[in-house]
Amino acid sequence: MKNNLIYAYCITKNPARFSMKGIDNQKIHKIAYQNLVAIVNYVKYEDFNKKALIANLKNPKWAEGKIRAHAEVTQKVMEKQTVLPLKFGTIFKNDEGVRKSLKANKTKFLHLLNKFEGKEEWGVKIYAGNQKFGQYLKKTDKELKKIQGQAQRSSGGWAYLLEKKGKKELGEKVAETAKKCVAGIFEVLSQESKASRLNKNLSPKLSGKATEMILNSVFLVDKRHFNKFRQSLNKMLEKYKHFGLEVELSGPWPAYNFL
Amino acid sequence: MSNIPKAKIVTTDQITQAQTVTLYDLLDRTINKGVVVEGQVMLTVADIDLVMLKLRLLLSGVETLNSGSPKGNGEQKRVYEPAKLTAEFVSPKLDQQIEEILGNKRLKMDPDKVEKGLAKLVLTIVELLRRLMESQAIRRMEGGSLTDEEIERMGLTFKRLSQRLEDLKTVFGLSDEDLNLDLGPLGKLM
Repeated sequence: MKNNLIYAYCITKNPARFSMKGIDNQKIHKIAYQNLVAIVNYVKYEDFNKKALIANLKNPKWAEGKIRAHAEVTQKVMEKQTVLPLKFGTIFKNDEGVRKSLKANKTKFLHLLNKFEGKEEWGVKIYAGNQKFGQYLKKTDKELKKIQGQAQRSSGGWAYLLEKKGKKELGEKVAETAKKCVAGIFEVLSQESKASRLNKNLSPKLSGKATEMILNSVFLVDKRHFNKFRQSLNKMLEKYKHFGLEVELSGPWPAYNFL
Repeated sequence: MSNIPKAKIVTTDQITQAQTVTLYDLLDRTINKGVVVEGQVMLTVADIDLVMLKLRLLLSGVETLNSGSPKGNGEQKRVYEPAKLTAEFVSPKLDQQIEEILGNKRLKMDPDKVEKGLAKLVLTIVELLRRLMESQAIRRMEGGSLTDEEIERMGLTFKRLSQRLEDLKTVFGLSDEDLNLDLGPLGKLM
């Protein structure tokens, strides 16, 4: 096909037979170099040459469709075999370019594909309302109860300052307790997985949640071990039930966070 | 287009397994974390003006970001509000720039309400100082270097100051959130 470019989604080894459509509803095909295979489809030069692509990406609707298609193809291929997800926007001039690239990166790709064999990425995000932590601590923490008692027995300026002191202590204890709690969960889940990473907690603006994110983590989990991983997560949540944690488990993803 | 990535909903007491993965997750992975192939590639991600792209995505308020409606199996359905979704359309590296922009917006004074804007700025600074001094006072109280009488006087002063500030906030129609200025990359003031 002349005047076309090649859009690459992911790399696999010995792919199963498949029939699917990708970006712009084009038929997906494979380009192989030895036992490495790139999953690709043709895209129009006029839409995907560098200049056009940069311009097109500024149109959110256009970009969203392409990004979703990119993720969907990679996801479908992943259902049947291990994949190396390519970064969105990996575009080659022709088949030869794809082969050359596979050849040049052969060692790296094979190494990663072997590493990811039989594994999937799972994301675990945990949110907590400070109130729940606070309510629990107010009931259980000796020091806080002591300050509270003092404040109730005092009056005037003393009562005011003691009340403020209680608030300050409570804030510090809430932060400390939340930190300990998620550290425990992260450690247990790390033991149940092949690899783990901590990502930065997202602000409520980015997470879209009213409560604060206190853990943003990803795990590379053996498929056969996933039930155990999940059970461990459940167990930890049971343990910290009184904090009213809210947990989001997402996946299975290609091993994006472990490349 | 169907939901991506495909994920079953499994809901226990506390876990929500997102059926429709948020666009934030999708973007973060496909754009920030995919394998980069060297050589032969026409375009590398560095060439894309990602900042522009994501800011545009954020600010344009795309209406149907999560086009796949959650099918659900009756157990748990996640309903996203467009505004929240729009905000998710951003990479963590960008959250600073975005907060900066949002912060600036908040600081901008409406010419018709200059008085309120000015009151907001002044009260913000007073409130910040009050809080700093108050925590200093608590520390001194804990330190034990003050007499009971001194503590009582200090406490009363702060109590009155705090009440006075509340009154002023009411007069100018300001809430606590209004006084917590967003300093962009520096975070919230208080």
